[in-house]
Amino acid sequence: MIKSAIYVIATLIGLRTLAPEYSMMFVGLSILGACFLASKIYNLMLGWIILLGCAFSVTGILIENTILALPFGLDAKESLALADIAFWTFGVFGVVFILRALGNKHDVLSVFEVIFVTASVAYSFSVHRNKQIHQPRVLSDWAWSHGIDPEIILQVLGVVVVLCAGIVLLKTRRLAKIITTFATLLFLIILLINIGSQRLEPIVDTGGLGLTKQEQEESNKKKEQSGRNDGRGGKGGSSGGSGGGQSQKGRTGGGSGGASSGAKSSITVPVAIAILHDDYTPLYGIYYFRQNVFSRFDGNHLVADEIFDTDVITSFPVDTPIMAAPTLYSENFRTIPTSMFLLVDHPQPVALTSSIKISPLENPNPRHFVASYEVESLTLTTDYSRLSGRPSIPNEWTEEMKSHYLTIPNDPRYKTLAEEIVRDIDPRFRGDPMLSALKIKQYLEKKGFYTRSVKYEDPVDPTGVFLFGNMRGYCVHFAHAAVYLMRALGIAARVAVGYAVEDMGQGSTIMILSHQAHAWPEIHIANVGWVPLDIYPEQTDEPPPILVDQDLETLLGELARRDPTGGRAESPRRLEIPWEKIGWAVFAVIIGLFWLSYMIKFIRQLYGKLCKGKMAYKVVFRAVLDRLSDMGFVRYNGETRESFAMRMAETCPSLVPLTYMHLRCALGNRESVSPVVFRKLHREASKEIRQKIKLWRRIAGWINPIGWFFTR
Amino acid sequence: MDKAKLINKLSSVAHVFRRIFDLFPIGPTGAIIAVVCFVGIFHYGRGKADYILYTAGIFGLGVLVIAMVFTIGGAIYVAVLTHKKTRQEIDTCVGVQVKTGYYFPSLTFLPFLSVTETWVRPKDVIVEAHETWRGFEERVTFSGRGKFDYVIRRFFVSDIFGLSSIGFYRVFPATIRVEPGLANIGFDISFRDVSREGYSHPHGEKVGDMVEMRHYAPGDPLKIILWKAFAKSQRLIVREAEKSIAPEQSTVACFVSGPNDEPSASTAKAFLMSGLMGADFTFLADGGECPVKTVNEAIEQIILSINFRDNGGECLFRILNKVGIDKMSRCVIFLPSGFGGWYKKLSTFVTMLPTPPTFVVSLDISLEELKPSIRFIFFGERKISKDLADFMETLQNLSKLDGDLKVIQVRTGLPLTPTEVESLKHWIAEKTI
Repeated sequence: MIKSAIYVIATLIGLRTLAPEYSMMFVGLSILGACFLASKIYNLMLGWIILLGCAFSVTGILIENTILALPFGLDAKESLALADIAFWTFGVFGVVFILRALGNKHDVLSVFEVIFVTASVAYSFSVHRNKQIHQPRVLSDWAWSHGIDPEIILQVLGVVVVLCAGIVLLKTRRLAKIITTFATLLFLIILLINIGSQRLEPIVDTGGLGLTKQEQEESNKKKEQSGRNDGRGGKGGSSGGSGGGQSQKGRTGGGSGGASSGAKSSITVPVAIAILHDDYTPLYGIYYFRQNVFSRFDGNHLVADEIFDTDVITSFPVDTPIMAAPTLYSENFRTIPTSMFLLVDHPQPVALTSSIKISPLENPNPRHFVASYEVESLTLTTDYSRLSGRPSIPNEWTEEMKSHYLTIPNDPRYKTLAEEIVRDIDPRFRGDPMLSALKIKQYLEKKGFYTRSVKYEDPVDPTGVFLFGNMRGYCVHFAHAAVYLMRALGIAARVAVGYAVEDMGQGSTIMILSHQAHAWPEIHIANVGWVPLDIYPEQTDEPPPILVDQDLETLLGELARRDPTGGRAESPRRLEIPWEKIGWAVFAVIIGLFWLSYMIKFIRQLYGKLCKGKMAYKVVFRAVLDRLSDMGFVRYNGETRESFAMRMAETCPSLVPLTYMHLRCALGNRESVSPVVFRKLHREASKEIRQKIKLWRRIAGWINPIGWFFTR
Repeated sequence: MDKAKLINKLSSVAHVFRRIFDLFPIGPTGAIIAVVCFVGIFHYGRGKADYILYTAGIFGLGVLVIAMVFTIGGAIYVAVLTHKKTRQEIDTCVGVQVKTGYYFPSLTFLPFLSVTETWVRPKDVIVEAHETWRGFEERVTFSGRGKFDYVIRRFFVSDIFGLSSIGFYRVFPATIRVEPGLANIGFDISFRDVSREGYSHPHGEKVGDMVEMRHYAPGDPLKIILWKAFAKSQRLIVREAEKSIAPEQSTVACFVSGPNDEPSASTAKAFLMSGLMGADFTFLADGGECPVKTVNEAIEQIILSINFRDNGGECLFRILNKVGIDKMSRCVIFLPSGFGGWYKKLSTFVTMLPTPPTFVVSLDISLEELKPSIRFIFFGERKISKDLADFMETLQNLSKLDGDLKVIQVRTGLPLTPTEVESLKHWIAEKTI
């Protein structure tokens, strides 16, 4: 019965988003029917059970199609409703029948029941996955408005699912055992509450850029693994001196090298929230949130460098603010203060370009945010065209620095191609770094094809394969190609990685999503600083951009602003539980149950004394058993009625002839014993009970309201 | 290699594997649940931040671990408590439930745990555990006869969810003697005296010469009063027929052991105990050295014959040698229900006898059990158990031999009529009754 109830609840929860509401009642009834049928005919062969269940489900489909094809005089709405009801009722009946029957047949197969119950509940709430904390709305809106984190409710639901699964798997009916076991389980829940309630971070795919900590660790592991396998462990160790550099190398290898991570992920996860503290609209419609830069050429591709890229802040502030080296000239830039709240752990702080100061900030909601910090960023306010006429490399740069930012693969084709690209620039502006860079950008945008479906696994120069091949690739390939071409012309350039968020008029809260991970080139202009110069290929096979969920953005923004309701209410509505009413209701139910129990007990006894009809054999026998049961004398499991009578023969000898007469009548020979004989035996049994059972036990029997419940 | 030997070898290997597997504390359900939990935690929980499946996975694994810990602890506890081995003496019959006097811990108030016990040797026994204040009280019902000098008990400690379990074995010294069950011999049963068509049932009709004399009692018919005696002595004396006695004093009976011979053993025991063999009989069962003449000795031979099932029928030639062919004019042979190697020996033996013997074959099912199944309703096919199929093969082969065939239903104690036997054969052959 309890298992059936669990099935009904789990299935209805699971079908909440699939089946129409009007079919739910029929589905519930069909589940009860399926459970009942399964309890009766589970002795069938395994194949028969599955066949029968499938037949029920197929019947549902056939009836649905028949109703839709032949409307039987119903209008379209009624036909659809009826077809839906038939489909879900029969379909669910078949599935539940198979699962219950299999569970009844073999203990091991109960596992499928557990999976079904768990999957039903999990499916219904699966929209909350990947940090979609505003989903499902039916739960989320209510929870947030009361200041409760819906994740806590979901975790409680997970615990309830385990308890229900435990009931489904239960192999005993011994109450003492069940009570002690579930009490222990509750204790276990309390013990594990810390582990179970830890915040979860989904696996985030940043398109091979390896921006998150998870990806970085995974990439390092892979590197170590492949190093061990190839016997090339020394390669990883060669750059081991600089921890950050090593990790960047791994990540870039994943992107530029086109290792397996080039595939596009269909799941998008919010990774950070940025709150702008000043009005700001990006110059070219894109907010660039930079995480790191790759400038050192390691013989294969560009990796991070800790010596020269001092303008990039690559560590999180702990107690004091971290300042970047002053390389930017503020007349072309404007200072924008922002607050950043990371939802997914990153190895370096993500900040609006170009961050000059990062200060610590108290985490407003550690359950949802991994880190939070204040950022002061310098954003470009000058148009690219106004930056022309300036050299790229300032005079104060050392030869080492120049060499660092101009190193490219030892391939003359880069220089040849770069010169060919800038050949048609007006001779007056030939050699201008900004115009040359723009020309390269234009070339790559025109010739390139943006796609995430390619891999470049050349161990020497993957960018060369891309650039001098079919020019099909994604941001990492374009950024590397642009940087190499620019460097070939003597323009200091590097690759920046982070997130590029399109300006959609979001307001002050910007939600950064995992699919917005991006790599773009930055060029250095003397007396200006590093300027982002992104490539946007004209040809692409990418689907249209995923729309940002405004609701989630607002919710996270409000959470970041320390609003516990996530903007759902002015202040958390107090969850008022009418304890008094509940108490009275429970009291009334208990009293009602007591009254009902005593009434049933009384009626069964009275009927046993008064009945004179054909059913006397039954009610008299039942009345005597009830009296014994009241006093704790109950037939064991598996004990026959005759054995029970023999066991009780010392206490109540009349039970023996009563049992045999009852058996004779029950087997069809009702006329063989007169009701008078039964009543006589009843009186004798009562007398024997009075004489042979102690008074305290008889009193306990009178008081006991539920003895009849255990009569078997 | 012989097929039987191969099967034996395989089963012993399987047994060894089972014993090893029993010690492994996680069952198939637990293993699947563990996999499901790991998928929940790592694929959906950590991979997609699904809080329901992550929490369910963590707690599911927690339950599994706790269940394993409890099971291992419980198994050690039960193992310690069952270490003491006391000798048990059991003298019972097949089909009768007896208390062995052995108790094992029930662990009622310990959470998670459930304890069950089975017997590995002897095999043919159903063990029931009844809870008492001392723990579980063991009650056994044997389904096969035999004598055993030790018992191997398998204790199985598991959690109530069936996630983890540990089984271990204990050998206990014992003296167990299990007689065949007593078949229910009906009042109508009789077996035909092959030589003289007489009846030897003690409750049979009074037949024979009117030789018994006694005083008149009210109700006696007038025609049996001896008026001549009355005239002489003035006393009413009546003469009545003698009570039926075995017309042939010596019956030679054999018990052939073979596959599924337990019903025949029950019938043979019933024949012996109810005196259907007559006062003077000679009995030999397979495995017995010499023919015996008392009921107790005969039953003892039937018990021990279980060890000679593979070589059944040897007793036929042995009794012929010991008794001599001249005394074999009234021979009753109890045959197993299952067809086997004994048939060839029997067919040779029958040709050596001066008069056809009586074959007694027993059947331990009732015809009412042969209800039409769903399979029959849908497809008109019946699923016939191997025992029943073997039984029918036995019947068909025995009908080829020269002898009087009696098929006795053990449960009712009644012989099947020839019509019933024929319809049963037909039922199996034609799949309809």
